[in-house]
Amino acid sequence: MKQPPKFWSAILEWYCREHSLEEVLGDLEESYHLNAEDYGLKYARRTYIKEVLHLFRPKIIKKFKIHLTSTAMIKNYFKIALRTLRREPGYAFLNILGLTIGITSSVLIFQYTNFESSYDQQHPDVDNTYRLRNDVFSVKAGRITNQRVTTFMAVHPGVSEEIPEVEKSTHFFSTGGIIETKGEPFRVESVFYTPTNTLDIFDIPLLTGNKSDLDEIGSLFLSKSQAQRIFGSTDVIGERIVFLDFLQGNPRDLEVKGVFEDIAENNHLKADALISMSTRISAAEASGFGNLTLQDVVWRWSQFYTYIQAVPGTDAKLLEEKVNQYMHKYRQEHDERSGRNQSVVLQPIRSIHLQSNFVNELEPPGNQRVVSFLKAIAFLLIVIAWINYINLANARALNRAKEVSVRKVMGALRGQLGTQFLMEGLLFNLIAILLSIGLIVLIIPSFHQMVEIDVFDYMGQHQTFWLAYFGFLLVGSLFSGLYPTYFLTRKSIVDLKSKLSHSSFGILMRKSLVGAQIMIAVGLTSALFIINSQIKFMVNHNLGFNIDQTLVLNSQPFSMRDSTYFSAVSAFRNTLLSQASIQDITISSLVPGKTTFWNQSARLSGDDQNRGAQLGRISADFDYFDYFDFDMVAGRSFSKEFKGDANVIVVNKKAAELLGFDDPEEILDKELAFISGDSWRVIGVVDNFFQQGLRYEFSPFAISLDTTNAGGFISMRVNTGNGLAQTLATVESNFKETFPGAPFDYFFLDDDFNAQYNADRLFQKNFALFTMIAVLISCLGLIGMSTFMINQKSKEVSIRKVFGASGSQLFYLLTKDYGRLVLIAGIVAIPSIYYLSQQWLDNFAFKVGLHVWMFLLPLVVVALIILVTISRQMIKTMMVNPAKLLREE
Amino acid sequence: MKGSNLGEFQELVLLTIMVLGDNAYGVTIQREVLDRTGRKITMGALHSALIRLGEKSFITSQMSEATNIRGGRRKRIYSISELGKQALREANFTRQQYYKSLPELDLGFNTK
Repeated sequence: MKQPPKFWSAILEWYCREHSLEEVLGDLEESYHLNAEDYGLKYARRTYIKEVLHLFRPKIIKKFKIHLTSTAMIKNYFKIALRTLRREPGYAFLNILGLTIGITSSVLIFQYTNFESSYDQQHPDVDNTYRLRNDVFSVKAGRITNQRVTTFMAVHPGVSEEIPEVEKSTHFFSTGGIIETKGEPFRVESVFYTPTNTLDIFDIPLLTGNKSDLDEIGSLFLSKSQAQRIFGSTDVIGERIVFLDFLQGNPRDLEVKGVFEDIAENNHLKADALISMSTRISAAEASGFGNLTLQDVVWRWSQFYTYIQAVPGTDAKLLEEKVNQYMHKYRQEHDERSGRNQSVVLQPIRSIHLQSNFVNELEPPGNQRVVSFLKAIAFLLIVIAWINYINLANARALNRAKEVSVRKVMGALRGQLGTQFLMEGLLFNLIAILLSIGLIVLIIPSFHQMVEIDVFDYMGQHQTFWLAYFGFLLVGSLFSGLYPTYFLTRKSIVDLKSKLSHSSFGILMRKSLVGAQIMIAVGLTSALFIINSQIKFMVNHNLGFNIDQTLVLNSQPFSMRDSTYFSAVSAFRNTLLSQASIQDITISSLVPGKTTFWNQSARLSGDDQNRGAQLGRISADFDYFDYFDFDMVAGRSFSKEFKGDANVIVVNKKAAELLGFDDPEEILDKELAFISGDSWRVIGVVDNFFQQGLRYEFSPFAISLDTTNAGGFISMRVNTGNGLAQTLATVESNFKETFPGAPFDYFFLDDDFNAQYNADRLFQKNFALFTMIAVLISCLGLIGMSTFMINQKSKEVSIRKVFGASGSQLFYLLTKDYGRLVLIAGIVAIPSIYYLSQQWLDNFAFKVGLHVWMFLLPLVVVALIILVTISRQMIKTMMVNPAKLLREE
Repeated sequence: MKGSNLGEFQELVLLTIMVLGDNAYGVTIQREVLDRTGRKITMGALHSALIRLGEKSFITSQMSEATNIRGGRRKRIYSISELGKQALREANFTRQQYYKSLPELDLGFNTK
């Protein structure tokens, strides 16, 4: 039985009075278990937390003893703090503004990183639930050739029957398709064929329907939002639909047997619909397995996402060993024959979103590195703000020295003085926090837009949100109050009066803190330059093909095609080409930017060395190479002028190399035979192209000529200027006329291609914003600091001026300290940025080179910003009439 | 002792304790109120009301046996005191007086 949240019961124990503690804790726990039974764990937990918060009220809180000597003094401390605040509003403004901005940004970033880390945390027994990853080791190649997050069909339920440590298991088969009802097609992206176990392991609650219906052939469960979309209601049990599976043959009649709650955003599996696994299996059996039976294929069919839930307390390594033994038992024969060894790795489901990036992932994974980077930035931002506080407090110590001296003379103890300054820190931080809460309420909608996820349950039950604030308050007050406390209370009265501002330790401290700020600013700016150049590099690089002005349609789904498809698509093509607004058309199985799922091993026929390789396959029509403007490095592309162009194929350079031809000319006219039994004559070699952008290495491709237009994508070059809507409408009406019932889906290829960089751009955008904020906060501190430091030198400046110092000499006098700081900061920051940016760039197969300017320019930029920041104060001091300053002496 | 006035919520809690007989403690009171009135009351509100009622001596309480579902903790069973019953009667009486002087609101019951 799951226990109520410990953290919250500890809080209750902390504040609850002795008399009520036992009964209240007991009541809450009983209520928790009852709720868990009736409404589920999540509800019980939420209620528990709510109850704990509501119990915090006068009758129930215990009497806290306040150990401070006198409340009267505390009143006085606050009074003095407020007076200081009022006497120097500029100083207070800088300080509070810096703290507010720092806290707000940090909280926002932490919210985002928390969301990213919150994936798959809420499943019932999350600590013991694993997904099985399947690694394929090729004996011949001597290495792992494939790591996929799916495994063999037979693993479930066998694994839970044969291994006692496995409590439950499930698997599902993922696809997409078209749901058609009353003649209207709806495209659904994520459909799982699954047994009922999935509902249990992932705790997917049903709105209506019986779980057990998911075992029957022909039953379908819809998510709440899909039911709304398709039927306009959730009361849909008994409705009949036709489902066209993109990956599989004939349309099937299904009956809606239930509706489940939408699966939350922070889950790696987000199903739109669930169909019984038996439906899929019966369909497979109907179409047959060649000369094999279902029993034969269960240990070969490897597209099943498989999850196990272990008995609590099971050691994951040992379990993994057992699962491998189990699999080996059944797979051994196949493995020996195919020369491949299969092994299984247990992935804790918590770690899937940020740490798993393998073949067949259900959705694009997050990036642990980006999350860590952002966390680091959040931390730096708040530290900069606290440094401001310390520096300003330190710099102003002279003004406070009198007050401290008087207090000391009157008999104040060190501890009391300490309390006073800590309270001041507390007050400043408290004001900043209140302001930042207000600020967050104001900007959270735009922040949601910026990070492109609507994630924040920011005020409600989200305990981390409030914990973050509480932490900031506590650590911030201590951190920012401690140093001034130490500094001001340590000195004897005599020292306070005379040497305070010139104590070497104080100056060193001040300088190193400012130096740290400059270092952070330089580091972040430099990192920003590198990120910008990498993204520019990716977007502007020649891709090896031209995707401008290209409108792409998804052709009629394979499952709907019959023998008339070829003539229909030809007619469609000719009608469109007669339009003035459409220039070229090509039909292919793949367009740039898409992942290929069609990989086959190929061999050169009649080759004495038996050379072969795994190639990505594309089938395309005559116009493919001209349309996308590929560069040929040897031979020629398809051409209608060559009457013999049938059974011809073009490979890319990478494929030629893998097949053993470093000189592309040599592969021409060789026969290439694929494992599927077809063989083709190589007529040309195309230069390598970036099929999926610069993030990935070049892949080997073989593009075969397909004159029957069997591809799934119809690409056409259109005038994207005026009249685009008109063109689209024409295309749509033609499409619907030609292919009744097929969904009309289109996209613009350049947008689609560049969407691959969305995550990177988003990172860049966030990074730029927070770098600017960091520099801004640093500047706020610098304004305060420079005012103080230059003021101290104002007399020196005046005297030098009287003795005839030139403007440039004075300028040097006032800026040399900062100059030195910038240099030192640069020397420290650059190596660490060099290292970190290498880490980040490792995400990309093709990366921009690091140049010296990327590190020096930020230094110059930061130096200039500092100069501008301090210039006002500097000029004021330099321009003032020396007599004015000196006469007071 | 504080005043002997009975708030609406406290009255509800007192009545519930009476209804529950010798099984009145935090969870049962909360659930009973929910069942009878549909009102969701928080433990915080309930316990501070119970403490107030205790201070006014309208209820007495004693600890009972520990159970597993409560994580091995004991319950505090509440029962209503004579003073409490009196307060309920008084509250009811006062209210009835008002209703009687407002004939359009007199619902016709309790016309003793």
